[in-house]
Amino acid sequence: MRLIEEFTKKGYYHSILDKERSLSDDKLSIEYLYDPEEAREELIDIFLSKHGDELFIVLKGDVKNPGELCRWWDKRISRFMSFGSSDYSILRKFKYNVIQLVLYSGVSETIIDGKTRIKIPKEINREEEGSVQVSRKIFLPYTEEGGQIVIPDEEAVEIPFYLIPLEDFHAKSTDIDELEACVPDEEEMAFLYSKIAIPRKKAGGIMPLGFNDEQFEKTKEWLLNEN
Amino acid sequence: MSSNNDVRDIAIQIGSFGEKNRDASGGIRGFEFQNLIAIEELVKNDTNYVCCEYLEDVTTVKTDETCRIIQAKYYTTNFTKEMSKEVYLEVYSEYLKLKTTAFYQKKQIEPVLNVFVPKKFWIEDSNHKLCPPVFYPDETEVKSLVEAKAKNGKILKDLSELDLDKYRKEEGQAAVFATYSTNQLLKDYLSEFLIDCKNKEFVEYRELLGESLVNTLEDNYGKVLNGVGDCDKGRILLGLAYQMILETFDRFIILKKDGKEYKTTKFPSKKQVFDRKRITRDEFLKRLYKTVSVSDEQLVSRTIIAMVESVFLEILDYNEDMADTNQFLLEQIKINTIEWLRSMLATIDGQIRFYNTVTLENKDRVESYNDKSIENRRDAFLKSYNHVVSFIKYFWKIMYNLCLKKNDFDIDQDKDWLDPKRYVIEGEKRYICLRFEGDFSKRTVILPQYANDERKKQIINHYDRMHELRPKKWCWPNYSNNGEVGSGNRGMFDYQYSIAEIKKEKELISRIEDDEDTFYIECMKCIGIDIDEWTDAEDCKSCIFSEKCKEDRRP
Repeated sequence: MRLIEEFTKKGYYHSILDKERSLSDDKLSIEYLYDPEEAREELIDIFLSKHGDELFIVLKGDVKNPGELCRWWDKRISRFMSFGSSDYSILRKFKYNVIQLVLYSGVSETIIDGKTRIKIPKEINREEEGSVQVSRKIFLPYTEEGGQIVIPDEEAVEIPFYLIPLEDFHAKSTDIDELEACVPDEEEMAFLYSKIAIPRKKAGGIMPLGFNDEQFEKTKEWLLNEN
Repeated sequence: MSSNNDVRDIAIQIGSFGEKNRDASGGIRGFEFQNLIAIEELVKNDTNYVCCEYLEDVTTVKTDETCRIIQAKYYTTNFTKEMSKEVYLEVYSEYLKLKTTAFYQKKQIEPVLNVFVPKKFWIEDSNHKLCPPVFYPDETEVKSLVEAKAKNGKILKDLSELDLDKYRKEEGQAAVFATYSTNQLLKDYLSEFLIDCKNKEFVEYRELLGESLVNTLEDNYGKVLNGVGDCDKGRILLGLAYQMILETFDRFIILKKDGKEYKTTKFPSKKQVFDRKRITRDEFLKRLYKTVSVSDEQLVSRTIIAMVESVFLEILDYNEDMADTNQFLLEQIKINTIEWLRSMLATIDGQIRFYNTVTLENKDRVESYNDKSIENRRDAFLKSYNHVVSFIKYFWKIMYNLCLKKNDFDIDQDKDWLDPKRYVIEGEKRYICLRFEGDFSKRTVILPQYANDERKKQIINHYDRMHELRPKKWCWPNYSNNGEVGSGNRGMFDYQYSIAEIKKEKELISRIEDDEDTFYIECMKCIGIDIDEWTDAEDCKSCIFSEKCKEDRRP
């Protein structure tokens, strides 16, 4: 998926680095997070959710020590959470919902089924992913295609708001056969394919049965059948 | 055969017969004023040397060998004719003593009353201009007063008799009048007498004196303290000069007996007392120049001590209604502070420790302090002048508050309460870490007030440095966005926190006291260090040491 597009497509994430948007609209002083005049090579973008309750810091993690990078940003995040706004309630909203998206370059492999498969380099130290200090860290591999950052769907699902589009699902044919075999026979157990009207409870208290004896036996047999 | 100088000096020493322990009846401000007059005299081109509290409050011997004997009086109330009469008589006694010497029979003596009166007591002159009151008493009036005193006075065979215990001040004066006063001498005296009433506010007087010190030093030796603003230059030099004057009050002399050195208040001879008291102009300027320009290891220490002296004088200036006992308390605090700083700043590590506390610079700058030359290290502190002042004032005010609010505070029993060392945690070497009784925080730092125009940068620098040092509480006078002091950041903050453990907004301090990852910012709004804010003490327990904010602002 195209990362930046996905953020903006969702509609409710917007970039703090967008020069057309004034920071004071959010009553945030971004200088406490980082110095806008200092070129930070690893910083791709920063996103604040529409409701101000989630902050994403998107970073390039192709560095010697990604853990150190994460801790560097953690220090700045905690500084930002102390002084980033004169209205503390604004900060409090996303204080515990800051996520560092650390992207590292994968190596592209062959194209299979129209999808680029990415080989994840073994050297990346993902230890920091387990850290619960100040921010969550999610490490994701990426490639660049046409100037855009692309993350494979099966990795991108780690991002909380991302759902793989349904149309991208291709069911395996062997799985389909197996699944079909499990399903009860349509002719013999037709009663399972239509809505069963549950009779109303008669006065006197005994709950009427949904299946008759024959239906019950057939269903039991099907369930117990290991095939 | 004695040289002319020796004869002159002996004459001055003769004039000091009958000197009893002078009490600073004008209190600390009177003492300060007198010392500033001494500095004013030392700045004058025609001064040879000056003595403080010897013969008179300030005695000047000029290059033409005439002598000026000055009484310095600082009045907090109106200066009346009655008061000037008293001074007349006192100074006349000194005048007469000098006139017994062959040397001063021929040379001129200028008797002076140098006086400061608050502006509210000034009167309009013939041009309807406000000026301080000056009252020259009537000649006949003074004559009859002298005669009345002389009636009861014993006739002296020799001035040295005055040093005998039986002659108290009043009796000594009467004896001198009886023995030596003549109509002609009195007439000469009265015609020479000058009342110099300062026609400036005290703060202005001090500033101008600082300026003239700078000019005099630079005229004689060349530029000093390059890169420092003129106002600060004056303050620093005045602080240093003041320290030098204070040294002459050291009552101790180190003597040798059986090859061993020992300290005593008993000076063996009048000459030794005189030598201790005398400050020659040349020596004074030379030493002052050396103090600011010679780069020895004590340069940083001297510079900061000068700032501390200057802060003390400034507080006195701006708090006219401060009670005498409180002034004395503050003076003790100042003396102890100077001793503490002198010791700590003697090493680079101590200097870094202090610098790390008072600077607004970032971590890298603090770390590079070690690599700087001595002059650059001194300059780093000069750049932080206001921050040093802010630190000293807040630290002092807290100590001052604790003493004044302590039940049964006794200045002798509780003298360590007036010593910064009592509150400094010696084990922490990276910054000045403090602990005050009654405060929940066991590790407090006093950070300087930052300049509003560079607010964000300076907050960032503070945080980055403190993040590593982890003090529990920042006593940090800080502004809000609209520029009002003290309505800015206050409450609990985090150096670090876990997203797996969401803390409540209003977490009790008692629950996070031992948690190294949280800290508390105290805005210091309740502690006054400005004009007229030292007259009273604040109860720290109910404000800056308290868990709850007085105004119940944001946690």
